[in-house]
Amino acid sequence: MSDFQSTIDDVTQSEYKWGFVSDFDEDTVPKGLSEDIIRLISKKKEEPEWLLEWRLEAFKHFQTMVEPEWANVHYEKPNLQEIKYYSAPMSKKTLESLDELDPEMKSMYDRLGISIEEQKRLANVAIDFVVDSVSVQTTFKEELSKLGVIFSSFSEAVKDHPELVKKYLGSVVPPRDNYYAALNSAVFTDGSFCFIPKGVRCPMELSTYFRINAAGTGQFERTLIVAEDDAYVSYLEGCTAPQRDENQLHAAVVEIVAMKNAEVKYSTVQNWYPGNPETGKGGVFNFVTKRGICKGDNSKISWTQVETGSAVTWKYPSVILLGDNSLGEFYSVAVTTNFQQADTGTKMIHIGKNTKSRIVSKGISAGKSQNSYRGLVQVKRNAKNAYNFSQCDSLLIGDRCGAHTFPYIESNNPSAQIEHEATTSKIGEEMLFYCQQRGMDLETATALIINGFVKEVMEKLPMEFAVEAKKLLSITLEGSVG
Amino acid sequence: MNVETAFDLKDKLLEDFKKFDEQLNGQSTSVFHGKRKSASEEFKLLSFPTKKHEEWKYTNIKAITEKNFDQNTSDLLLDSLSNSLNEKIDLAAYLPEGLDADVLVFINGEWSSSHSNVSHADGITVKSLAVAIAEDTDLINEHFGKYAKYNDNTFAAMNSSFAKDGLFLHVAKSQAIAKPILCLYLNDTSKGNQLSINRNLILVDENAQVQIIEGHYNLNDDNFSLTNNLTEVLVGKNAKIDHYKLQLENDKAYQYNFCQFVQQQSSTVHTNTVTLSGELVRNDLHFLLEGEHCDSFLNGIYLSDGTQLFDNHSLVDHAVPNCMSDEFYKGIMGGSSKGVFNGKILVREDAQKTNAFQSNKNVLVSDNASINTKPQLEIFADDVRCTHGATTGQMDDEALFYMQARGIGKETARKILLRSFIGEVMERMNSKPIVDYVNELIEAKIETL
Repeated sequence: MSDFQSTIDDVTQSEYKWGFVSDFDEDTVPKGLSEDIIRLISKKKEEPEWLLEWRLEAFKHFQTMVEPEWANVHYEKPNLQEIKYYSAPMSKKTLESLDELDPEMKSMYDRLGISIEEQKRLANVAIDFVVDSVSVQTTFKEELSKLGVIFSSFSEAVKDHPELVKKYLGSVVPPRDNYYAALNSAVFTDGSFCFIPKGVRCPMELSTYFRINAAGTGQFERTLIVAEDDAYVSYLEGCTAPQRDENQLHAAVVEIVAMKNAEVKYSTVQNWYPGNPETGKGGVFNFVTKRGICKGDNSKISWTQVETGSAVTWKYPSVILLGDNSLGEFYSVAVTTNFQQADTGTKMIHIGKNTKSRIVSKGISAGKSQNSYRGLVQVKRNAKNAYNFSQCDSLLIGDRCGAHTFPYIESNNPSAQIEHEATTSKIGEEMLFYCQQRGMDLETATALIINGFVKEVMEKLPMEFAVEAKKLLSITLEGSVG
Repeated sequence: MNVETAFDLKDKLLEDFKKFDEQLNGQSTSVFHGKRKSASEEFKLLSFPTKKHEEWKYTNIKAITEKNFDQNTSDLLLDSLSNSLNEKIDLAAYLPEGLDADVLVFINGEWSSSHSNVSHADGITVKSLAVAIAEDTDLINEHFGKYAKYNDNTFAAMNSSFAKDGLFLHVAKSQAIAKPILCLYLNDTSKGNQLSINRNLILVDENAQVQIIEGHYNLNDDNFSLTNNLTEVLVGKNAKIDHYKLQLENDKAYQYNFCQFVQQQSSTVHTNTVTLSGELVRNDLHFLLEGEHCDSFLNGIYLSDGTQLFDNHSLVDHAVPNCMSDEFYKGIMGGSSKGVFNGKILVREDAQKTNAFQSNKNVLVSDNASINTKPQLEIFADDVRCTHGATTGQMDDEALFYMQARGIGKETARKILLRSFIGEVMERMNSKPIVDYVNELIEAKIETL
């Protein structure tokens, strides 16, 4: 099947399409990590004393920690002293209309295919852009505030709602949680804050586009989403980053709190620079801690992710099911090509009674990439009638890639029911033959099969995101696999 | 001032090795002892695993390493010299009914010739390893220690440094053994805490066939026992092995068990592990498939209660294309017992057309029991079909109701369900006498759950 081989080559050779550097003034602090830098960041951001203390406490603990090595990934550890921990675009004033936007930035968004006007008008999406570390634009804010929904950049939230931030910050991911969470807690510069008050159903999808822009700048976002009783919100996060040769570190923390009957849906499309396709050099290190807690009874948290980028991914969106009858979901498509490495999965911690969780993970590996699923399903002693269903399927394209599954299942309650199944295979020759026999060319047939493979997850994405995710998938696996 | 230093089993064993080394006359320069010495060097560098060790994440062996164990020679072994002083062990209790087998008995890790009964046939060598070291030196030097790797495995290094007796079996080309080989490993703890080291080497040449049954028992429960078994099996081209391991020690017994199969082209291995008692049992079952078209079947049953901990680790290493492996383990946990399952399928680059299946199903029957299972796939080739599944849960309420509705009492119905749950694995076993024997034991165990 040399034809097939050549199409596979096409797949693995498709270049990162969105790599470019936007050139605008940056307000940066010197490279390196120290207590002084943390004080400087805190001062620049005009933070209250308690937050600085919180950062310093985290930093103190961070210094006692070592970088974890258990993940199934191999990379050169980033030198934390070579990173600039703060950089902000100069235009700091809040903008009311798009005309005020830096033209350079506007064209950057246009090249990404995100037309703000169009999205504002048609899709009814409020977008909180984070270019590097400071939010430069927040739309629909007024409309949301009428409902009592707070959706702002993290630094604004610290200024405007310190009591809320203080109450929930670090309550799900404590600053001592792990190496990169501690680092994030010490040096995070900005992020998003979202608060849905009691009984409010957020009328629009909230979304943030992150971009890593300034050379040598690690991004350390902090996202905090709180849904009070009976509240609902759907939150989107998407990422595209410019092409770079130097490894960039991204260590974000996302915390979600869902109170009684609340529902939070968190969707991610991630497409950071995966490194040079020929050599595997460069690319983004994505070491993220994402965790939600279903604090109240009948609450629900759902993670959906489409991962196509990054050189190294290390990410386990988790749900702590504390409230009775709470529900946690994880839907993931992870695509790795060339030299990418991904170690991703989820953790479902069942504590409350009648808690349910569902895990659907689809991994596609191509080229020389390594794709691992690592998941934990833990049923605590009192989690009566807990139920989990996990399914992890891997698809292999090419004979030099790897797919790995590490599911940990820990059950401490006899009434818990846990089901796990996993399969690994390549695209079936019979399937391809069937499609080709009916007049499809190889490329279309492969695309069709891959689309079918990931469909279960794609369906969980909000409409406007699903379109982008599909586009991403086809660009990543371009050639045969459109 | 008296400062009590904590007892360290490793230090004590190293001390033991030193003594052992000094007591060897003439043998100390042999190739075989050289292998022991290098294993001891490795053992020195390693430490007993803690829960921080990924492979021992759920198994705490503090209860073992805190205790002192000696390698005592049992009085029962002296009977060949002074027959009148000691009565023989009644082996009937350990022999499955209807099983006509060659029996080898090892007491505290040493071969007891008077208890054993081995028939001699052409092309088949069955003897104690201690005897084989002297008689079959070339074969031993060629194969001993070649297959089971002890780097990063403290227990295997420990076994390799003290290895002196166990089963040596060599089946020559195209020979099929008529009678199964039954090895009984018996622990006599009457003299104190007992460490028994069993080391087996099994060589099955091209086209040969053999059935091997291993049984582990304790003769008394005066003290604690620690059994450390290591078995190396080389399976030649087209050879067939049917292997059973019955772990039936008492609740003062700890057992570590490492079994390495190396399969050559078109060979078939069935291995069945049945763990019904013992306080802590850890099994490392490794397969290396180095010839094409091999079939490997790994079946396992574990039923635990009280504070028992049964830990089954397995690794199937598909190093070449066109092999098939099928792993099927089922367990029932009661009391406050713990079950651990970790099955790993490794498909190496170029091991195309691999078919690998793995299934682990568990039932918890008490509130305090727990199960940790980790079915793991590591796949580096694309043209493969690998699946694994794991479930844990309790008994099917609807099935219970169905039977109750038909006049079967709840307790009876529950036991029928548990038996049929295990029955699925029993069906995969070939030896009728063993199946009957195990069935009886399982029924008795289910009664207590």
